[in-house]
Amino acid sequence: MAQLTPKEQRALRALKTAVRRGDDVNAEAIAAAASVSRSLVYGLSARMGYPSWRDLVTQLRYESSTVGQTHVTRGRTRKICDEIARHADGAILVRAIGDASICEPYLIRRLGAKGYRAVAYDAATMRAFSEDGGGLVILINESGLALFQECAEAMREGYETVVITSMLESPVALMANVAIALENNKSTLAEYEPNYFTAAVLTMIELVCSKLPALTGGVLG
Amino acid sequence: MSQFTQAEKAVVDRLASHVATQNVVSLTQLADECHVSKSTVVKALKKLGYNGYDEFACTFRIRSHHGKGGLVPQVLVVGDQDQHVEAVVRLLTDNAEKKNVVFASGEDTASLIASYLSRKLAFFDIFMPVTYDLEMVDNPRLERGFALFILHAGILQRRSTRDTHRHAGEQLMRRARERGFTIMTVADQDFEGLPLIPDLDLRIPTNDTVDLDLFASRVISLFECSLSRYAFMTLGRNGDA
Repeated sequence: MAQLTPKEQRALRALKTAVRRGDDVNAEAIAAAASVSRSLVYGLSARMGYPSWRDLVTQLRYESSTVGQTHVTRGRTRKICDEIARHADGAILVRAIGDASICEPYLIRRLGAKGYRAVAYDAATMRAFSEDGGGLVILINESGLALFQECAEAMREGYETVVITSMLESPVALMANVAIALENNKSTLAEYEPNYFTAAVLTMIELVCSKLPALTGGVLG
Repeated sequence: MSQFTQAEKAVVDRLASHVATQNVVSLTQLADECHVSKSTVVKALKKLGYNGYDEFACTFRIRSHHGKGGLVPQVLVVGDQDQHVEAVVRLLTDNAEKKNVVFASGEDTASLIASYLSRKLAFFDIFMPVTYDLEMVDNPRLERGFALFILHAGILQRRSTRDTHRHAGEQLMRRARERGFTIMTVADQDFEGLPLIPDLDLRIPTNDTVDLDLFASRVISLFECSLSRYAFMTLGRNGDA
């Protein structure tokens, strides 16, 4: 999926707000609310990989009806702990990509040691677990540009989603139920500045796992 | 500050207020604010121990980003962090075009770190594949570079085998030394049993609580600092020093 422009992000926010409030959703009203053109609003569905405008609105209505969205910049560790603890009886699927890709096996291992059913995300596994009642999908990506498809699929299958990213305005952050913001520091190689995003995620994983109660059967239980 | 002139003192005071608010200013801006020449600013910075404005700005950026967000450990390595970062940068600079390898020992955490570092160094054209094989250090066609050993006992193993843990790469480390590789280790503070004295031995603080392991976060942060300094030293200096 292409990166949304600032105007498109604004339109998506307006659309989500309208859907959440239960307003009648039409492209003209969204365009007016976001100060963008009507064609840009209609084009949003294609930009986000939906066959039609109607499909996008239907998907957002469905997500809005299941759980509200939370953007978290403070109390981040506690929020993830709460989400994991709420899904202790279900499956916890983890997907990380980019610099932070090592966070995927790291988190799975740490949760597994505490007795949680954590596995790597893939579409087939996600659908298989959804028949058992779903669970939680944790997505980790610095830019928030990748993993949009995974996020949408998981939500369609009834999962709750947590994304850990550096950009709360990114498509995945806008889509997920809970978006956790960590600061990053992107730079060019020639003027490279330390990027602590992965280190921060790893620290967060450790803090989360140190606070989570061990379940029966865990190595540390 | 007795060795500073009045003008230089003004520069240092102004600089301190910018540092306190994490505000980076350009050399020209700082000189204008203090009503002094740029050369006066540079002289003041040299008296503070920097080679010039660029080095100050680079150091400032590294340190100011380091504390943000509260999720990066403040203490990354045992001892003087700046000196260790400089040592890593020297190692990278001296071996950038040579054959380097990284070996991970202990639990999976070390392997994940090795994977991260191998990928990240490749961005800078420094090739350091992850290996467990003696053949990787035997008779390389390229000039011998460094062999990095990441030695992490980890929480699970530390509980049961804290005192007896010996890393699996002992043989590889000896062989790499015999073949002329520079040996670098990154290990837990309390890691014992190295088969030889490394050329560069970095010790990572071990957390006191049994269920909180910040080894990976610290090692990655340490290398991020080093890569920033490496980029400054080798890539970003053309014409702007």
